[in-house]
Amino acid sequence: MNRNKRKPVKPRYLLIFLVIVCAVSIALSYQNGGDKLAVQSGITSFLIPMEKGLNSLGEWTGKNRERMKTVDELIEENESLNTQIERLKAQISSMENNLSELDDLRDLLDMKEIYPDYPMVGARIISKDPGNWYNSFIIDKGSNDGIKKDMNVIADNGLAGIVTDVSATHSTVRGIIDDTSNVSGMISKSSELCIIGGDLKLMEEGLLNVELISADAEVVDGDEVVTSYISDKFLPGLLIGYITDVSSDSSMLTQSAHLTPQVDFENITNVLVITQLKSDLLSDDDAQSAGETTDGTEETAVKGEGE
Amino acid sequence: MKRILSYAVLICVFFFLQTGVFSHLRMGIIAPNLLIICTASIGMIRGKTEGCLVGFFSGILYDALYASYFGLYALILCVIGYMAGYVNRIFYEEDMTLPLVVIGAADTFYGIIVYLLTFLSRGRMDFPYYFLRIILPEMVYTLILAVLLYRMIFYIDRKLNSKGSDDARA
Repeated sequence: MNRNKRKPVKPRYLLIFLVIVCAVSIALSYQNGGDKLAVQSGITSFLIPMEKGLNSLGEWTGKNRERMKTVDELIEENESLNTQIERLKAQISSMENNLSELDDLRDLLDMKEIYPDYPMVGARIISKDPGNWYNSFIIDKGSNDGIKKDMNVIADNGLAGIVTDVSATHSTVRGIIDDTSNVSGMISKSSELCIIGGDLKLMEEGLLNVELISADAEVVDGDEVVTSYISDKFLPGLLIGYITDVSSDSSMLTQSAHLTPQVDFENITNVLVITQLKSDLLSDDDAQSAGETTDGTEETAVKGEGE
Repeated sequence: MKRILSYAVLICVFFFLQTGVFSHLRMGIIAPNLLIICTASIGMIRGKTEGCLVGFFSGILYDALYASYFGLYALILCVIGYMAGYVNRIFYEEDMTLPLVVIGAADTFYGIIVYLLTFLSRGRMDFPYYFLRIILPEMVYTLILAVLLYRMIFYIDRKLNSKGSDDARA
């Protein structure tokens, strides 16, 4: 400021200077392909410890606001939940029957487990994007804990997002409900492929867009959608959510629908990061395919029948 | 020196309030924009230079954590701080309407720019929807908080002035 006193800088030049600085750094990070610049990581590593403490304060205030719900509302909710418990109990017992039957049948078929056991790391969300346009969050695990870019993040048994940026102690995750997110999915009943995209317009209702389902596919509300085999970033077979509002596109070549995600993004606090990368899986497969040709042909045969 | 320090503290406090607290206290899915309040207020009270600088640094903080393109928000906030500085000439201390109008306009400007740069460019065409459901509610929520926070910033500025430690415009 003392410098300014002697020789005041004209605001116009200051503005031009700062605009140029910004433009250069935008260009740099664009060239970097959205990866973090060194300056950026420097600033974040300074901010993150404070962010951690404040986020718990924020969570606390958020919870207190929930507490202000009226008693009537709570009683009503309690009643509906109780009936739901009854219904679910009944459902569980019938499911258990089904499950044992399924186990028997699976033994007979000698099938592999549908969900392979991926190695996972637990992480806590320490900050959520404060703006209104995007939906990304920061978790408290980084490259020190073995997190890498493009690792899949799950919560509540469903796909929550993908790691887009990694620093030493924290990483940024883009949620699947983010407007820029696109996931290649598969309707697990019929093996029909589709694209699941986030949409800011649907975020308030907590839904996602499902597009490019082929027109002759039979899709009904409640169909389960999982990540597909063809995605190069998402591991296959992770539950994404359930189909609602199926509609036929004007071109009549495809159908689209909405999807209720398995993950409750409003109350998400802890996540699991799968430390298995899809790209590694692919290259492993390539390396092993020479030795496992028999397995490979079997799988494709099964797939062909499915279609 | 004291002024620079208090700006640094102010920016940090607003930033952490924004990311730590108000990102949880959403109305529906809408969170307010405190950094706009800070930038526009300083710009109005102190003029273009300081508005520009405060905007730049608070934008840098936001960019470091969340932006996909580092510098984008710094650029927008920097321009907002500069433009708020134009009001400095017709600024009248006791009046509360003008600051609120400016902060509201700044937030709307911010929303429209973000929409144009990061949504329209990806083919999201439905501007009326985004305007009515995101930009406008954000502005209203921001204005409600601005009534309080603007007074706070104004009070801090007056304290700094009365001490007369170093006034950049003197």
